[in-house]
Amino acid sequence: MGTRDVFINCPFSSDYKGFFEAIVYAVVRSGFTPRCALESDDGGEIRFDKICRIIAESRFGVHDISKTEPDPDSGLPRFNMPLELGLFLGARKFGVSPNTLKKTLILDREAHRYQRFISDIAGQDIHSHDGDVGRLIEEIANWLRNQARDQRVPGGRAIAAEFGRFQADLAGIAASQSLERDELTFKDLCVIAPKWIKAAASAA
Amino acid sequence: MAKVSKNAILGRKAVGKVEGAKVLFTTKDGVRILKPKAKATHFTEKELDRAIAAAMAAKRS
Repeated sequence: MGTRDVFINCPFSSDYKGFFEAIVYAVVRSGFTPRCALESDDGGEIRFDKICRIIAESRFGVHDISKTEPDPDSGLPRFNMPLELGLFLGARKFGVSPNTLKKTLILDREAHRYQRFISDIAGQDIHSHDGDVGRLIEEIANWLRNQARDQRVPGGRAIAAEFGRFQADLAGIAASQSLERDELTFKDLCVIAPKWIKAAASAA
Repeated sequence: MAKVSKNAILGRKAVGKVEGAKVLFTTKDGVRILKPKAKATHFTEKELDRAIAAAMAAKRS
């Protein structure tokens, strides 16, 4: 199991893209490796098996269960995030070492809202990001710093300010390959973020 | 006399591994930024270096 691997369980919809980029950036900047279901596109691997494999390989899990609205096309809510959260908690509960060492950050957009739709996790410490990207970064960075017991990880607000500059450069970086910003993939982000951090540090 | 590493003499940032993960570089605040596990979908390393440099230069000008 990768002791620096962070499994990201969140919506992949276009309206969440900025939040997703923020999670990836916060994880990289905190000295960890982001992992998620989008990292491999192997048609031969069943999606559920892929998610189980990535969960098994990740010590940490960041789960944003804030998106509960029905899908505009189907009129039904998406249940993938609660399912993957359950898998992660189950791996910790019933798995053998080192799975029992897994650590989980659960995020929603309002404190205590989760009690109305997933009350079985009442008693867990659920963090709120208030639908704000800066707050989301702050929660993740602070949590990872505590989990890693690494005081060198900068504060969440500093990382959020950096992320604003990173986001401002993303469109230009994408355009260099004749891409729109929303065409950048998870794998692109995972490579762009560390390189951008390095370049920004050199330019400072 | 205390031992000084060759990297310290040459002013290189510490690289290597942290808990099995490869370190790409260390930031000024001491965070070890890890090497990505996969390659980018749309960029080679050189293309990405050039694109980031261009985006940063455009912002400065």
